Amino acid sequence: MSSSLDGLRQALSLSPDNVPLLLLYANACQEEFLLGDAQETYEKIIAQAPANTDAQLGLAKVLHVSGKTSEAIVRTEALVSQHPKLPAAQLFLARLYLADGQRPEAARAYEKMLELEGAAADRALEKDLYPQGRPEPGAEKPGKVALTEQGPVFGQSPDDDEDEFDDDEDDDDEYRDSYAEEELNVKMERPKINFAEVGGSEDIKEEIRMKILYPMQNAELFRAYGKKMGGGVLLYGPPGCGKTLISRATAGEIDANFVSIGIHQILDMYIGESEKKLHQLFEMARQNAPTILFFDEVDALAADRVDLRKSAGRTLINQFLAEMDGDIGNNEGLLILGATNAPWHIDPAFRRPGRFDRVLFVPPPDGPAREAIIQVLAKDKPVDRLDPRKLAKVTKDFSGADLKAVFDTATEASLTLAMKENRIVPLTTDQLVRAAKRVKPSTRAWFESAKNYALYANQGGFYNDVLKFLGISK
Amino acid sequence: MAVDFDASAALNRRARLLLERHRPEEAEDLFRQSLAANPENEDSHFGLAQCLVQDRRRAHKALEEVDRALALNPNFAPYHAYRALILGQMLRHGEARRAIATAQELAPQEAYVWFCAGQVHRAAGKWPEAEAAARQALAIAPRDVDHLNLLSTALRMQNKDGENESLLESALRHDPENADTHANVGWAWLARDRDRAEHHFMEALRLEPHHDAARLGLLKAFQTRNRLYRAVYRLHDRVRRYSLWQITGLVVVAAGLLFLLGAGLEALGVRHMEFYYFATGLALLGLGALALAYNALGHVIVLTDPRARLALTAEETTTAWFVLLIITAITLRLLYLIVFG
Repeated sequence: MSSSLDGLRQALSLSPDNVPLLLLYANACQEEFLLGDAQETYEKIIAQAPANTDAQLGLAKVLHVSGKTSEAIVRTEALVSQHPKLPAAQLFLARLYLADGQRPEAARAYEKMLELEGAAADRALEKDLYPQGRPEPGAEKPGKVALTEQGPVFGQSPDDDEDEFDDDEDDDDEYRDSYAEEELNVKMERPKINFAEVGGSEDIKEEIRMKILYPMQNAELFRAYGKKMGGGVLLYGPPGCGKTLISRATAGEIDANFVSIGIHQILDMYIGESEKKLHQLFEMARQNAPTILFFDEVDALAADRVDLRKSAGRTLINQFLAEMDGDIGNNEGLLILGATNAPWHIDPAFRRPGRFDRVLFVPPPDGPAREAIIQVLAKDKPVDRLDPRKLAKVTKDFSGADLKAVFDTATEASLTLAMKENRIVPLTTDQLVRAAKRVKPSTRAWFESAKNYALYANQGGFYNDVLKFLGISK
Repeated sequence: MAVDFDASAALNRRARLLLERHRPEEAEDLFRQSLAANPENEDSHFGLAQCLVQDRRRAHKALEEVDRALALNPNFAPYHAYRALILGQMLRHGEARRAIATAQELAPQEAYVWFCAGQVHRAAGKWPEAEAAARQALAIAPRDVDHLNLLSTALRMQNKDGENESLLESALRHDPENADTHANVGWAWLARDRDRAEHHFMEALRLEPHHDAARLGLLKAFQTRNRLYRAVYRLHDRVRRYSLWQITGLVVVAAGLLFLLGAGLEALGVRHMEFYYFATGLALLGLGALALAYNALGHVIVLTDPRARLALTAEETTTAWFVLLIITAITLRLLYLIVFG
């Protein structure tokens, strides 16, 4: 152990919150490869002085040396976006990109760095970046193809010209979008559906209007009160009750972009350990605001870290938290919707203010909603004088999926008869009512589970709506 | 069909992620797809068993899958240990003991194997053996709270209350957010301090709302608010620490002594002995009925409390109403006989 470290420690014991001293100590730890201590100290400095760029850069360096290059990139990108004229940050970002195999990005960051005041060329980095020699500045630009990591050579884009080069940032956005879309297999869309097309469920629609739509439509008013537009909303309830449909309709109501991320994309992120992919996704949404980022089965991404003690994935969860907090990008105009059947498996940290702080319980469809679903299900089938209200009455607590099962059961019976008689035998309401008696509503099992959480783990009244639905007063 | 090792391994990774995230049904699908790509992937068979075992009705299927994993890797102790746990769950205690013995032979220094051994003995009600296995697991992994909790249960069931208390204190110190520990503390205090027990059961349920031992403990705490039931509970608590054979032996000996006493009294010329035999028989029958309906009677008591009855499952509620119906019918019949002869 070096004596200078001991001296710094002694000084810190007398003045534990002295930021310059802490910075000296953290840098010394980094030099001595005491990475844990260095990281802890940098984090302490950032907690005390969030704008300290030296600490932010130091932390990113420690993360990189510890093998957490993706996290280091995300942090350095945030630092660069906050302080675009900081040559040290740009230079380190270039190094990180190169280490991560993103040579064109690295070259771009390096060139940007050279344009900054006070920047000095880094010959060693240049050698790695341009094995065939650095091209004249402004002559060519990294092409689109480069993002597919095909090679380090510039200027392979077929439509390069000077004007387009000036418009570099717009191109960047496009690349980023397509990159995120391709890498994560997600699509950005503008849903045509709106609330008028979602039958029934007036209560939940009204709640969405109050909690989501009005704030977004009256952003200026909200800003006047110091509130931001956007944030996170968690929709929970039994499966098959229309959480996804309602989310889409919400996007349709405000004419926002809609990006849906399902369980398979989430698993992809875990397997790739790709905090960067998640960041790209958020960036894509931010650049196209207003956007609704919809995470289906969000409990898989926002999993309780206590459950994952023995497995990987916690860094991705931390990244998700950081993205939601807007620490590494401006979330103005970005609405994050999460849907889950198992809210109890979500890390409690996600329920804190600024994250999923608005919670909506999506119960099984009510009578009018069931009638609407029944009419949709009956559309392409031979049905004789359908009475949706009668069928809706006997299907209390049925989800949309359960109602489909009712139609399937009745159709099977009709089809058997049709084959025997060699003619089309239409479905009747009575037949459907009989089928409904044979199908058990799948939502009951969910409520059995939810009841226990509502009774024993209802911190902050999270499950009050479930208790209300079950008719339990506490 | 060609075996695709890479696809199988990739599917297993995804399946494991799903299993860790409480999605056994979706994980099961992927493990099956993985087996379609490589039928000889032991990890897929084992993962599939872990998915299947979560539904008690499919425990036999889980056992088949573990057996397949074992056929591919017969010397892997955790498979034998897991097999023993499934067999214990299926109440096939003899086979479970044999399976765990194999695991112990293969990996005598593996704490998990000893912990599973303790669970197997626990399921069979063999408390001294469960205690010994838990101590062995603790000797290898002394800070593991699961091992401490297993030992605590074994001690409580053998009336070793003093050691159990200090053990639970230490377990709570190690991990104050462990639902098992709170449930065990609750059970340890139930007979002496109902409010304290109730607090710990509630704490366990806050941490794990599906913790069945805590829910049953909470029910018991509600039930023992009734003085009569509390007395019965204390008696039951004493008796249930003995094995079924010991209890049966005790009952046979008691019945034998009572009938010997009757014979002695008869030999001494005491008259109206038929009343004696009738009362003795009735008392024994009543005791038997009480033993059988002990839990259901407790549930009936809970039914009278609108808040407490929320802790009952749907099945328990149905049983309680059924027992209440029978009690009402018997009471009405007795009243009828008393009033109208």
